[in-house]
Amino acid sequence: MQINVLATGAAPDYYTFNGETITAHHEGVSEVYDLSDFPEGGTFTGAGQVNGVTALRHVERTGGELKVKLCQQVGAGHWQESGWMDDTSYDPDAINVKQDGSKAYSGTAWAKTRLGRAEA
Amino acid sequence: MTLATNNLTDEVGTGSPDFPNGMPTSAGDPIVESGSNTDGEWTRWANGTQYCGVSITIVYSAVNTIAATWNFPVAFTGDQRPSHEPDSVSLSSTTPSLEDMGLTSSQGLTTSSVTLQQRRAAGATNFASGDTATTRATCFGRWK
Repeated sequence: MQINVLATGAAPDYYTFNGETITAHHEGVSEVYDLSDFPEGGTFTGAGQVNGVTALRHVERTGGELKVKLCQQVGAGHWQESGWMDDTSYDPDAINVKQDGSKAYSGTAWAKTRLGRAEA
Repeated sequence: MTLATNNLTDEVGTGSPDFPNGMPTSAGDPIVESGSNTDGEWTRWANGTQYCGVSITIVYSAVNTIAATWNFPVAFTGDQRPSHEPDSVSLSSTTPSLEDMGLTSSQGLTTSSVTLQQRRAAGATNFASGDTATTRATCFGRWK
């Protein structure tokens, strides 16, 4: 599965993966999303939230491969999405999104991981 | 506003030419704090005012509407007041003409998102599947 982690103001704390099933975890609450039946060319219209937070932003299947947009919570600073990567490269304890170096920022940028708030 | 100028923090601005010891705080909060992410840009002031902005694509939703949900880059706590203005150049590429356009509106406002809409006028040419336009949205409200 290919994933792209978006930098957002609200997000699950982290995700776990099992085949084409994604589990989103937020403040002790978990929600399972089984995407194995998502069809080729299907239209994603939305998914239920986990503990009041949107977990899946977009789902598509192209050439048989599932592509999903997830989220990671960021705070102050300038951030951009991770870019497409294999779900095996996702690290729940790390900052998967990227800092946007095109915009000057002199403060302490942070993002949230499974371990809590992490400074960039 | 009382500035804690004797207690500068590193919360926001270490190394700034203007605030080499960090952004001054007011009642524990930075006087101003800002950022950007996938959902847009934002600025917060210590008096509780928050601004969010984005340029977003609205897409075919129904024959009379193109729309998109904007998730705010940071959540509000209340008093949020969104507005948006579709770009006339991109709007002119949709199936209805500019003269066919009707109300520019929003709905479903929450502290974390809003749906932005452009409607066609009653009786005018319908939007077609695949129609899109760019709109510039802003929202002011409270973060505390």
